[in-house]
Amino acid sequence: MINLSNEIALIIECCKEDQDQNAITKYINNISDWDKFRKLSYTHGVFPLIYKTLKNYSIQQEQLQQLQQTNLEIVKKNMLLTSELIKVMQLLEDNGIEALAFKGPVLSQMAYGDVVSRQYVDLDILVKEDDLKKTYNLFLQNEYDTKIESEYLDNELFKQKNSDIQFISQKSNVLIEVHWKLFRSNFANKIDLTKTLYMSNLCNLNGQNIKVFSNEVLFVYLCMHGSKHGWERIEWLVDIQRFLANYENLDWNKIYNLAKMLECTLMVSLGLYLCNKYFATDILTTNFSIKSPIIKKLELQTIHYWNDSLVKQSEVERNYKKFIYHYVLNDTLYLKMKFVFNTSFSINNGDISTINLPKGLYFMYYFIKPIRLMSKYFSKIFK
Amino acid sequence: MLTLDTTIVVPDTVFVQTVDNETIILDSNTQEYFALNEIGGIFWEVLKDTPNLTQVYTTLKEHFDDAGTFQIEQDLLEFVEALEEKGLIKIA
Repeated sequence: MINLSNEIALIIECCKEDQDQNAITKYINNISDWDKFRKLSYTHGVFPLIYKTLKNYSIQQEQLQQLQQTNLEIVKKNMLLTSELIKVMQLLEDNGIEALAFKGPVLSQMAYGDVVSRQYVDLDILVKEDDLKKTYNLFLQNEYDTKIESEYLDNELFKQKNSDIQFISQKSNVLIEVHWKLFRSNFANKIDLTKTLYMSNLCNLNGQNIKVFSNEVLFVYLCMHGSKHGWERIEWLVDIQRFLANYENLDWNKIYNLAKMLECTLMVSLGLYLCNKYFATDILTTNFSIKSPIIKKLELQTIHYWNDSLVKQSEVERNYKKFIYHYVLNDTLYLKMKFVFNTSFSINNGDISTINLPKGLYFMYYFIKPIRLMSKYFSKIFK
Repeated sequence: MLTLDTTIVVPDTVFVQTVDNETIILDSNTQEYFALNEIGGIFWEVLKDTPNLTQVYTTLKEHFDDAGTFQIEQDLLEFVEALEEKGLIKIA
């Protein structure tokens, strides 16, 4: 059993809705390096909640001022991101492009009740794959830049292996990820986005209605997303905790069937288990089993991620740990094998980004892949 | 000329959040941020949902019942004028 570090224990306690004041005071008294704690809180994406809690405790004035300053910067940035989201969703609607927003300001509003209690740095928008080219051109016409050349939109492998294109607003410098899929194909490829787009709700931001996922789809997505990243940011668990507290009438049969269909029951179980264990989320009404030993194994790795959040790791080491985590996360042996094959041998974004080949030459990517990987990893090892 | 008969509207390009008793306003057209102190925040809170300045004045008079009525009227009109200058409200 691994213990949580004092800093992580403080972060978790500050993010709870029902806080233990004695425990918080004890953890605060044991903080030796406030700069490190501030960085850690930011890294875990929960800075606004940390600030909201700690400002009510006796901490040094200088530390409090620094926390306040960073929180104010987050508030301002979040307001800008919210305004940009409303603007861009209007632009898409005016041009007949169906789109929905996820994570960012809409998740903050839905789970926390405002756009400033959650930390986010970009916007995520989902469009239909058929509308991708139109969206791309619309963004370029409206002063958004991207590094992806338009020729890639005709590359079927690019669209199959990737999930999003990043744009940056020339005016506001806001980063927008336009997705046509929620995950890259080697992680999860069963989400039918056309259907997902229709299963939507509305979220009100500053008087404007923004299309978002239905609550059940959003919950499953959040569990998949957190699991994909090994729940290495505490923010992703807090999102779920707050979301579940706000939406008590979720249809758990619907969620279970959706998770079954998407072959991600273990990911949902893991999210629920961690929320229950670290945030006392009530999960009695759910139909998910959290007793699997695999879940405990994954939990240990997640705690490692938390305790080592600020420890620098090599890309090789990080990728290896994530690979093992994802391997264990797959529901069946067949899926595990498929995951290993797809990750090791299948063509991925790195190969396609190396060169944009016409359809008749797609087979060349299989020759490019080993050369690319060797040059990438061997050069890193010998550096 | 601004009077209590004036009606105002807050453009939907203006975003507002309150943090630590300070009201932060973002004009998303210019990407400029403005900060209001606690009193300014109370004025804004009433103003944003009440287009008619007479109604705003009445609500504020009840809120600041120890202040003189002339003072409140003057402060309100100056406040609205400053907001209009910055483009944070429009005269309807």
